[in-house]
Amino acid sequence: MTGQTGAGETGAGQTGAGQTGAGPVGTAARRPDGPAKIAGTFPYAGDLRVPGALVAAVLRSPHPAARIARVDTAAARALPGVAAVVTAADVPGAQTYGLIVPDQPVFARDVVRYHGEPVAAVAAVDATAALAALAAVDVKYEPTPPLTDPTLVWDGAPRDHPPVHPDGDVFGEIHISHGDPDAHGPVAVSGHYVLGIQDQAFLAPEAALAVPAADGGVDVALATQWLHSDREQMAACLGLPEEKVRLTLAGVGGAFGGREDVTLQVHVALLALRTGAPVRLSYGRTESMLGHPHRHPARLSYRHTATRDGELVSVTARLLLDGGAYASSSPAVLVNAVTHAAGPYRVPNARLDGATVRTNNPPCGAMRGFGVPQAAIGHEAQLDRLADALGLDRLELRRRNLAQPGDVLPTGQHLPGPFPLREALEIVAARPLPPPPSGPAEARAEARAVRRGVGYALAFKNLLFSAGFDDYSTAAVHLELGPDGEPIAVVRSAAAEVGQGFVTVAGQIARTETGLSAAVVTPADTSIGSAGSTSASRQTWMSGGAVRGAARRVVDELLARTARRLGLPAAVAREPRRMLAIIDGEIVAPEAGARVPLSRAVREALAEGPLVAEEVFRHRPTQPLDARGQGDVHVAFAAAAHRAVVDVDVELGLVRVVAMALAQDVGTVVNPLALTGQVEGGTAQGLGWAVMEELVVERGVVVNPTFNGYLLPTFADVPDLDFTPIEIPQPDAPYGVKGVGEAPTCSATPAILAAVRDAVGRDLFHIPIRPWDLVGPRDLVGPWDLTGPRDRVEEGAA
Amino acid sequence: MIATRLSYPLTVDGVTWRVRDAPLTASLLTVLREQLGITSVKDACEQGRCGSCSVLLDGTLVTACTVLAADASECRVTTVAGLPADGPADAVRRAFAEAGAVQCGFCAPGFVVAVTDLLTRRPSAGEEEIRTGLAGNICRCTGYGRILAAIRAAAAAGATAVAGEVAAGEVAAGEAAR
Amino acid sequence: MSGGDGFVRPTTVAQAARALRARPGAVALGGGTDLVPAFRAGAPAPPLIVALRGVRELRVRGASADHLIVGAGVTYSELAAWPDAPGLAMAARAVGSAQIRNAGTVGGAIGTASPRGDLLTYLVAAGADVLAADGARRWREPLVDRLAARGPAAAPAAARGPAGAGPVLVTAVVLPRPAGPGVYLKLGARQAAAPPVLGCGLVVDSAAGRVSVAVGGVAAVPVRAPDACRFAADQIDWSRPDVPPDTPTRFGELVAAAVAAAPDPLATPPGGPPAPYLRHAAGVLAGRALAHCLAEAGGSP
Repeated sequence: MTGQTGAGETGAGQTGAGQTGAGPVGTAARRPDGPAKIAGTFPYAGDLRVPGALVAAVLRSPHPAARIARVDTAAARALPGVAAVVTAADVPGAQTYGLIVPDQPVFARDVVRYHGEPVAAVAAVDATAALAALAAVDVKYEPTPPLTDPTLVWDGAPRDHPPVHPDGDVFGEIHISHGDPDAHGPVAVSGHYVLGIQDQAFLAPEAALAVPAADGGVDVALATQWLHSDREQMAACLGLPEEKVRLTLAGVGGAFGGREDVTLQVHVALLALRTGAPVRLSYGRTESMLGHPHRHPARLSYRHTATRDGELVSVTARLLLDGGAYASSSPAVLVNAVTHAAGPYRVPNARLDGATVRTNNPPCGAMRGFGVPQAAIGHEAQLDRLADALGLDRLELRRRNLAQPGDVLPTGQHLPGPFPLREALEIVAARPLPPPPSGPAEARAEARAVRRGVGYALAFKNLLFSAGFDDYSTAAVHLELGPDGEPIAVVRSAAAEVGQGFVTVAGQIARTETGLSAAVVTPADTSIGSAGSTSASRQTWMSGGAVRGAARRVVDELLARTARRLGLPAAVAREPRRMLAIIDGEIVAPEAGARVPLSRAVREALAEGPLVAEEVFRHRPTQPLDARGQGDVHVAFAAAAHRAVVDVDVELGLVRVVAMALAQDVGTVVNPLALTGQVEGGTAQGLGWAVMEELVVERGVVVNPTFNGYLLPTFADVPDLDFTPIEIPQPDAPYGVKGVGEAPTCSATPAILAAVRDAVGRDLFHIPIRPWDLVGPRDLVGPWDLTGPRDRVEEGAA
Repeated sequence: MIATRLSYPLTVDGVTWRVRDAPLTASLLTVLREQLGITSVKDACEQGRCGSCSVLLDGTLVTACTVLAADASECRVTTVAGLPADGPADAVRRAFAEAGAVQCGFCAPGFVVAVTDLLTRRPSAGEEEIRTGLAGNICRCTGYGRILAAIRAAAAAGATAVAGEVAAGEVAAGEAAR
Repeated sequence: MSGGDGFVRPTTVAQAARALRARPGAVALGGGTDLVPAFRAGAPAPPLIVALRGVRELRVRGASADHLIVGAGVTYSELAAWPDAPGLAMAARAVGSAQIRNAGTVGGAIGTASPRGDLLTYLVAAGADVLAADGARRWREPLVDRLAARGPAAAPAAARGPAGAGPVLVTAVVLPRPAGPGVYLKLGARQAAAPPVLGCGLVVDSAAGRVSVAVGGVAAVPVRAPDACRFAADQIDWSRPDVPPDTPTRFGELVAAAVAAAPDPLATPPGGPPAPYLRHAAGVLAGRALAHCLAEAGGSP
């Protein structure tokens, strides 16, 4: 053990070549922010304190649907210690914002459309005064009947209904037509699945600190997933040019998609500008669970047909995603859900239809997996039931239908390689199973009631942004002298570190490219160009690519200056890597017989001026879907296979997940320890949705916006993960990396569903699984049909 | 009615602070974070359900958000910074850093306090006891796998240290006996 | 402590009772696990908080020849480690997390009177009484009466006793010393630290030949099913003890019937377990609890 003691500073670099904490790409380099996080000194957005800062609070609608007859802030403004009260009337610029469609009001003006919609905000000397001000804001609501059934808006086609919004209530509609729409096989299985709302439940509630600036702008430190997207929307709403809205990433306590949307950004900045004082805004847990978009609940209707030998002939699917009151990223989530609806299989004929609609339910948007977890539940449950109908082993049915690189997906896209799905399946199938359940003698009765089930699920998950979006990431690398006089690589990137470990990876890449052992990543802010969103499993590939590119070019410059200093010909300086290389802390030019210690070379090169390079990294272009749902829409895919083992108490319907095994297509591994952490965490989130997590909404009102009512998996709920990475380098990606964070979340939930089905011998149609779904008569289950009859198995259809 | 405010001493990590004009109903968590600027204690749920605000109160593991701050006035409050040096705390911190047990880190200080408490009372806790004993500390990022590895490593380091002390003690006793 | 007398820390029960009586709306503070989060969630500040941490009499627990006495200030953790009361310990271990168990108290559980409270369900099965005091007197009454007086989901304030005497302060719980096995089985929505959905406490008194059961989570107060208990007691061969093999199941069915007939049933929470499922699960838990106790007592069904 090297016994490194952490410096306790955010982003502080390690020193000393070869030490385990300071390795290049491919090593288990330690997080630079680890010691501070462990010591509790790492500054999250909610920890920031500035003397004289006011405390802000937000007034939210208790009704899911209502007209606002009156908002009177006079009494609130008159309270002692209250510096400002703002409403829609005080928004200087655009009244609405949004990631794709700017339909979400900064404050509701005439109507509220969801439980928790912001109506006003206050800034006061302390929290007590702020809460008193909220209580004194006089809002006259006239509640209206909320529209909470998405099938009233769309049931295969848009329907006439009382509109939730004058702009329309269908956020997106997609129809994928592949092959022959009338083709079907002799064996068919249909099913309808109802999936509840999952919440990202990142542990650090939303928080930000806004400080008004002398130039009329505002500086905001906040936790978010995409600084530049926030800035763009904030500037529009504040009526400011973007240069006057300067954002710095504060410490982020998890995200998982829940920080992609603007939530408190405009509110806190507006209050700072109005009061001329710094303003702090922090949510509590309840406000957090009302305040950010969630994973879309969905109704899935599927019909799979196959030959009697188990070759898939057709997949027909209808997916309805309830997007809630405002669009958020619903249209993009829909693209993902529908394009993945048939799963990673060879499907010669497919008709995949989907829509995402507006209701008065809570807004939904991005959560780890982004529409694919929903699709995976559908296609994997269908395959198990089809296997049973055919009398085939569930794995064998999959083997016969796995998609391979080159196969045509329902979108017409040829599946790009590498895609080791077959390998993943065989790995998990071969992993040792846990020992059978055992317990103390007194547990006899319980033991008799326990049935063990084993289930498998395969999934594929697109990586990076899709459908023609021009995504890019910017990074700069400086070579400087550190405080100890030794050279250090300084990485600048606006990539949001939310816990996933980008700061670690960036340092590893910088060390690998520069040969320096000291690398530091500066705090992310908007002084550099956008790094894009921390989502879509994209940062290691995109921002890693930008850091790599910038590092390579700054090293090119270093080598060029060194070449000139060594008196080498000008042609060498133009292409220095032909003759010079960095090896073991030296710049060597073997043909010239020259070697210079790296630290001296940097010091001397800096005499000519700064050593810095910036890179903008892009992935290959993609296409949007056309009217038939065809297009080269996704950059790449990762494959994953999960096996779940569960013990079910069949008398009580209680599920215990005993073991999980995962094999995943991970590309080149940058940091094996970080990789393990990400897939274990992704598996746990899939487990949570399978057996316990549901944001319950009754007539539009969120019933359980707390950690007492919304249950997260504890240490006792998540078993060890038996994980096998499959490392095949991804072409066109820096070092051959692939995104890893979302794929396991897509396959974990359906694997557990399959295992429970195996244990109880009954088909399951609701996620999360409730005890009463497993016990007693089927009519304990509430109505769930999208349309049409319940599941049936038919043979010899005409 | 004007809300009552109180002033009282509060001893945290060996330092006695003077809390002034805190609301009557303020939790220990709120007073630590807002009045004293001790932000290592986290506010993920403020309901006693996540463990991110775990502290020791007179040496007993509790969630600061369920303790009335005024009621802690005559107690010793220990945060992650004040854990005893002669216990497993150091091994726990090192193990968390080395085992990859930290991602976003928001649960980390609470876990370090709770794990230190567990290993102090039950140095040879098995896996089942670790899992149920720490069920009050939620992590959303890691799925607990690397945290379990860190706890095992810290426990093993502690056992090695104890064995070393025992061995040294035996040697010393042996020498004394000669 | 300065800045107004909104907070007092008595050292005796008499002082605590007087303080509660002196200020209308005063509340007693035990471990704070219910009260303090309630304040954070917006419950109004009371005019006075009477902290019981310093009342040493409330921390006492002990056993006499035929009774166990547990002071209202005893925590779940202390109960969980008490060898004299294994069933009580089992119920205490089922509560919350280590952090909650270390702080939450018996008195707090009774004050909050949650209809799903794990410890309360077991105490009802065990036939517990409470010792109570107000500004005027001290008395003893059955726990179920005290729970019924409080009602479900009451505001965090001590209930009123006879007019003018001030709020009631529960000082201790008294229950018969176990004369046989006792068990508590809990149904929650995850493996640990689970909010209780349903709980079943069961106590067997081998000396007196009695079985006593309580089911929490179905009605305002835990349901006791006396008919089912009489049936079980009749079926048991107390000399061994032993039962016909189908007795636990039949017992469970009778408990489920009692649950179905209980007055003041709890409404099904949105997204929560339907009543038929809860009835069924109550029967399953009760049957298992009986089987557990009989196995422990030496005979197996």
